[in-house]
Amino acid sequence: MNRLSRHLTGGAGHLALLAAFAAFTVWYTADAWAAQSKVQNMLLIGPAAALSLVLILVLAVAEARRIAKGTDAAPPPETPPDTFAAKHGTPIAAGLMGVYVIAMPLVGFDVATVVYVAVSMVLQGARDWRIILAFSLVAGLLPVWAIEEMLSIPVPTLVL
Amino acid sequence: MIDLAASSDAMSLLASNPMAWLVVPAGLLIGLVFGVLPGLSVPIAMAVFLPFTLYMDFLSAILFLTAIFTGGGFGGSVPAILMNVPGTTAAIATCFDGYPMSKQGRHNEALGLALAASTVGTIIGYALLFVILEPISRLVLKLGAPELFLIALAGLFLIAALSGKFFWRGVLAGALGLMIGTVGMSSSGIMRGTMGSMYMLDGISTTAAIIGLFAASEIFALVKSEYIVADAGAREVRIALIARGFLDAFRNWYLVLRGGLIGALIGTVPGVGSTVANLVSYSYARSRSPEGERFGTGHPEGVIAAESANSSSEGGSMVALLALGIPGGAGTAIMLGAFAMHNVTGGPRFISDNKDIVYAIIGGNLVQALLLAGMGLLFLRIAVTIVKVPLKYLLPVITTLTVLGSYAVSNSMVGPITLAAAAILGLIMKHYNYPVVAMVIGLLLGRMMEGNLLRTWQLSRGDLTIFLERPISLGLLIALCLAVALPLGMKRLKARAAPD
Repeated sequence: MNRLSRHLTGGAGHLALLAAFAAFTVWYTADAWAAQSKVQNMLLIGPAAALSLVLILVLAVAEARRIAKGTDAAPPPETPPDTFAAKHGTPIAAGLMGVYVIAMPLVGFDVATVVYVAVSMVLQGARDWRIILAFSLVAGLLPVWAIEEMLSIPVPTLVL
Repeated sequence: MIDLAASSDAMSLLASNPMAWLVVPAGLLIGLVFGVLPGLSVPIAMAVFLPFTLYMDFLSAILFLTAIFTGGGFGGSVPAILMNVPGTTAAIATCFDGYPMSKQGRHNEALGLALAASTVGTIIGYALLFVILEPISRLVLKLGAPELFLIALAGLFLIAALSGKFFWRGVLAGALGLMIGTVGMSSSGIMRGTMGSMYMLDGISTTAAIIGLFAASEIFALVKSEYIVADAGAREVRIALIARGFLDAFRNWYLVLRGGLIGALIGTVPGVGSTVANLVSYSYARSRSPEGERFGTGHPEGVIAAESANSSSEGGSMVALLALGIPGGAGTAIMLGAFAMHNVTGGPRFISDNKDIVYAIIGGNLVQALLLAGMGLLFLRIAVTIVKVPLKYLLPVITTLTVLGSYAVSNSMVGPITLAAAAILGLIMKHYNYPVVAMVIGLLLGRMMEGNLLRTWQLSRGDLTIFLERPISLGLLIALCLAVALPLGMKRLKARAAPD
């Protein structure tokens, strides 16, 4: 399992990233070409896309060779992670931020921010619910209030 | 070059204007606070406080706005050093050595170095402006579209060269950044990559993307730690250590001077600005230093080079604003708004007719830089306590501030969505050794490069040999080729000379 995950975060993952870069390059170039196929419109996008695709190909071939040789796997960590946050904290934090941003217009900036602060604190090891509740209410509501009242920027909220 | 009579009038103007000296400390404090908060950029601060300038005379209004500019320029370095989160895009390179210094418990020293470099950098920028305002404005006028395109291209290659053994990954990241930077409506009204959304007409929100690529990915990595500084003994806040760092910067006076000159010169080029100045000065210092390989591990010279350049670029950007009436970036664009509010038009005519006011602005900013040193020291005393706060409290606050700040900048969900997407992309890119800084520079320069390339194409009626026909662009082209070829040639020579 560990070996598989090291391959996924090593050569296989890198190839997937390069495939994503190539997909974006091809899609964007085609979209720009469809919008207007004149030289003026493709003057910078065309050469930048061509250069990107050549580099993606070169890097992909080099990575495929490393995979064939078996030297692509990410090195194991120097000190094995001992806590849940150390083991899985980084991907969970990234996912949590994505969920927070999606939830903001749906449940209101105030509620989404309070919940996000509370869950983040739990993820990082906070366990005293009174502190979590008090801190997340202050840290979540104060900036939303400041944006609305001090910067006069209207934001969708549920409570404030 | 210097009009002594106008200088004397300028001093009288400053001495007889108490309002100016009331608004300057306030402006510095506003700039410091907005600069420290990631996501709330200096142009936002200037835009929020622009209406207040209606109640001030023209000189006080401009000094108030430049004080916000100056304070914010330094303020951005504080989170860059303490959290690896550039408070402003102009503090990107400050992270490279500032944050490793913090992790080693040398945060007090790093902040002192940054404050000294910022103070002296600002002085260099405005002193240079004072001396060469007129000749440099004539030179800037000679830079046409081909030259501006080549300057931006050189900036991109310099940044890719920073990636060392991952040079080609740097070039790829830069090229992708260029494409992402051109998403939206082009200068000829063509919509590209908008997926039919009107929110994408202005393209990707660069501030949100930059904060996401740099900051948020670092925040995710910090989830594993309890404090920014792991060693409890190193978490102390000592004004004496900050002061020592401040004085240490002067031992590297040549670095401050060189960074200041690079920043001031780059700042004069419209559209390039302090972010590029910060990165170019850092990469140049790294390439010239005998301890170049130690850069990125907490080398004080890296902090000095980066901070002196971004501060001095402010003086440089004022050249384009005062001499040509062209704003070099968002900050000077807001200042141009203040010009309009006071019925003043920048440009060569403004300088010749109001030399005393121009010199008073320069003189006021020189004093402002000294005030920054004093106020910055007091402000840092409070700001550095961040290292004592457990990350379980600090990280959620920073993340929400960056997300909400990106909403405030874009006034729509485009900002937070861009930030989240860029954060995840930044995390993955860093894992595979792609320099996110190259993508950021591509993003920042994409539109400007496309616009200038298009103008070059139109000027030459489709004949790109125009790059070889203009002396300045030919010189730039040769310098660009040398900049790319020399490191590659040296690398090959070293490889040959090395024993097997």
